Amino acid sequence: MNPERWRQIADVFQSALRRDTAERAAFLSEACTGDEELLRDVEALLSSHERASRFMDEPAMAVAAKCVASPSLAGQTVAHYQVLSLLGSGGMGDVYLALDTKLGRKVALKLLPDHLAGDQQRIRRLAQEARVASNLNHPNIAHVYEIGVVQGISFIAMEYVEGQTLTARLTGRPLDSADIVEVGIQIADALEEAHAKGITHRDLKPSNIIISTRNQVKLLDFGVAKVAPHAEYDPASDVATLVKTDPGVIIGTVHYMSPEQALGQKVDHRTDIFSLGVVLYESVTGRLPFDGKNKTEVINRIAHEQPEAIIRFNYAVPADLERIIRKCLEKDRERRYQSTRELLVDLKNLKRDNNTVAGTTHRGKQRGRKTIDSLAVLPLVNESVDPDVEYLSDGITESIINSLSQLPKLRVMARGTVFRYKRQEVDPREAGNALGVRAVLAGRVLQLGDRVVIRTELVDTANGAQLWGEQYNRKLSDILVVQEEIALEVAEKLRLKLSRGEKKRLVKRYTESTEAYQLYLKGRYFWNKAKTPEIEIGLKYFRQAIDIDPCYALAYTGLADCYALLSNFSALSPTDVFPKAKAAVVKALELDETLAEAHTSLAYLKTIYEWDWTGAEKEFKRGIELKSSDEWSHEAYGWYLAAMGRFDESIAEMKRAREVDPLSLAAIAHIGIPLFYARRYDDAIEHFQEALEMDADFRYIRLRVALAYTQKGMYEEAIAEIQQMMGTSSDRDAVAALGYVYAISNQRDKAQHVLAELNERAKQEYIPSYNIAIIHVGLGETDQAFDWLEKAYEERSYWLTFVRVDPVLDNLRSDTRYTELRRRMKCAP
Amino acid sequence: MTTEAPKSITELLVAWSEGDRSALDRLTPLVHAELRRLARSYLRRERQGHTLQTSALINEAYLRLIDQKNVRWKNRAHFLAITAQLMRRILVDYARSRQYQKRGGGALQVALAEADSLSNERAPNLVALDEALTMLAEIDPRRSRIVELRFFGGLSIEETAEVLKVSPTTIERDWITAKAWLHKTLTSKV
Repeated sequence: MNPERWRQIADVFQSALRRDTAERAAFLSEACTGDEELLRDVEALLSSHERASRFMDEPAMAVAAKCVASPSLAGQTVAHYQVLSLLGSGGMGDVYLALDTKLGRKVALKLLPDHLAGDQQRIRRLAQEARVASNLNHPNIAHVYEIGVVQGISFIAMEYVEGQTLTARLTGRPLDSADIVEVGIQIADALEEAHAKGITHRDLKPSNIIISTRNQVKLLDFGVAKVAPHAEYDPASDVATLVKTDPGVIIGTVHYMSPEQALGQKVDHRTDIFSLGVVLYESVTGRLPFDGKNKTEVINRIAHEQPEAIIRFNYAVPADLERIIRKCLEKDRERRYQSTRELLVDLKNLKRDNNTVAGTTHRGKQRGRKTIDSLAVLPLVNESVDPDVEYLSDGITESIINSLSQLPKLRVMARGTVFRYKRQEVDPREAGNALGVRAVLAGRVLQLGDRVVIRTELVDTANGAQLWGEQYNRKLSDILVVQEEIALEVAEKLRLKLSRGEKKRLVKRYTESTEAYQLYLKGRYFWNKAKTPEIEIGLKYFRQAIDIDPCYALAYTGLADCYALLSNFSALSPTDVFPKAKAAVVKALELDETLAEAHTSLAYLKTIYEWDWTGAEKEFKRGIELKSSDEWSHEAYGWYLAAMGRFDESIAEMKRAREVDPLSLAAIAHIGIPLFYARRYDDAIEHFQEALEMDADFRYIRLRVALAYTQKGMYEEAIAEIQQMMGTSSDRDAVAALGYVYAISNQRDKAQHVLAELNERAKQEYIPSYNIAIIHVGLGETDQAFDWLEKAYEERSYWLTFVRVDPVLDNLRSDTRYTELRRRMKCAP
Repeated sequence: MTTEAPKSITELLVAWSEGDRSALDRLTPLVHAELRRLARSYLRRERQGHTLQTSALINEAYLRLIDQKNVRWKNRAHFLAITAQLMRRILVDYARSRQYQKRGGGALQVALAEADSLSNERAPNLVALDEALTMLAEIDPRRSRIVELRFFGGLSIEETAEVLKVSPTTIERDWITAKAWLHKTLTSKV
């Protein structure tokens, strides 16, 4: 293209843009008459213009800065490898997960970082590594596929091992001895192969050891390996020499070096044995044998000091293992194992001995341990200075409980029960035994600015052993991820075989926005306070979460739950609140059918508000199916069954709820509900009293006790209970019950007085019509009773749900109006 | 970096424009530092879900580097033009050092998949863009300058108009035209 031609195109282009799209076509055909190419070029330019509206809208500085911010190569292509993601960075290079587009397999791609790309020394080392490693063919050594250079960038493509580095496993706590022995055996085996070929690794450390998801150990990074006798590189570039000349220049860690290495002496294969000893020591004790404030100090200790006895940090270490490790760590290499083979023999013997003692032929791991099928997640302790951040620790706890509750093979203690342990310094094992679970997850949360530190440990209650411990130090915005990790880790540690669907549900994120998530947590925190002003705050937070993420299903159930509670506690009538609740729940289910809570909420609404009995049961069952470890799913279903007159089933469900949430007062008390409606008043009272003993302030249960006494004709006692309950409040349910008792016990004046009082109050606040109706029932004023019941019907009064079984309505059952009412409530007798 | 007064950057820029080639070497790390600072802000903001105020950040960065007000310079337009050139040099060099090119092709050869992301994404491949811009300069030096001033120099439409002594409307039109051409060039298969 020449400048003139371009000017022509540009002119037509600009003119075309000045016209609106309708006229444009006409203009173009005219302007480009006889010049097809011109038309094509202009149209191409116009089409690009359409797509380029945001093109270059940020200056180059921004683009470059983003480049800096995301140093990963992800998405780019190196030779025939498509880079997927950054796996990790080491001193020698970055390692990426990549796809070999020729063979269609995943590889680990090690690249020299660009700022070192010109470093000849490192390039040589990389080549060296590849050559060395490709010579080795062993199941415990990561296989090297290819080494190459692309546009001046050197890379190694090697076997991608999916798993965890040993570093990730070492979290300051000892590992299981059997596991350590196994790891030792596999590494020693790999080393034996290398040594047999004259190769010394020289950089053995936990970050170079990967444990695959199939528990196979793989050795990586022969980057500084020494090849004898043909040293292909300049000995002056030895790590050892660097140490001699200037310890401060050492790349990476010195903690695993042997004395001879640290002191810059000649090394042979026995240096690897020492390094392995350090790794084993760290695994067994959870700490390094040689540590210090700086590298010089560490080197000094390596060279001259003996490490602390292992038994100081791990009293359960087998004596033989301690002996083996000590022999690896001999300063004088003549006194160490002289060959990896010797070490292997000792380790294998140890393994065999362990197995014999345990009496199993497994890898010593199972050792007769029963699978753990029950777990309690204790409330994570909020260690932050700011108490307002409690919603975070509570929220994370709850989320973990919720995630794990979805696993069918695991019985998880409900939130209500475990939250009794909040703010108590409790020994996890003790708590676990008290709750009757096989394992306990406990931990602490500390928020500092925009970072969060979460420490968790999973404890076996049978022996107090720590099954797993981990510390997460992340940005606050990553908490979603951390929770998933914790849930997955726990599931894995409990060796629960998860189906793929279960795994997916475990890490299912209901929102990608951490902001929305935090708002959700806050909403839940306030909802759990279960008092009107707090619930209203919770409502606000849920709404905010939805504003940010309108597809946040859980936030909708949060809304629904708030509405549901508000209609119980506050002066809102059901007809005000339930449609909103239902809308929220339906929306939640639209967004996610597998949301158990939403099904239960919907079922509850169908029961209480819509009287869709069959529909409700379907939803209850679905909710339980999706999340059997949830107290409320069972309890709500229990209420439903009681209202349906299916008392035995109801009792069973209430009992199940209690199993899941044994310390929940509600769960304890509610077994009394079906008993009450089954007219087993004494049994009902017994359960109610049990709960009241633990919390005398359990108002509505006390009310039920009063009603039970009334049915038994124990009017004095009933009145006493109600008066105790009322105290300074004038709970409208209590007042109505009082009126009813007065009426039934023939204290008509008093009953009329209550009636008048309620009617007066009804002018200011919402007084359920049912409450007034029952006083008329007690007074034998059937007509008024039915009038008010009619109003109650219109209001969708909660108490009407029990129309089938409510003893208070017994005197009305023979009346046709009762039958009519039931018919309209879709449950004709 | 924070101890570096804007004046000295300006001095370096001046020196560069007067033919002092070594000024480039001294300027480069300063620009890099600015990039890193910007990058940190991006990381922080993106993680917290804020994508606001990026333009404010960028303006800040440019201001720190190119303190126009302090320039006792006869020809402000000339100065800005020079600095834009310099920024282009430094930024493209930086991008190039971070980039791994596909084998056997110039920067312009963009695979189809990448082309899609180019059209969706706002951020062009700086190295490719630089080459395309050079090509544009051969047939349309003025529009190429406009892109250089705006995209690499960070100048607004008004500022660019001032530098080139034409109306902002003209600049706007030319900017759109240049963008269209660049976009087309970068996404077409060679």
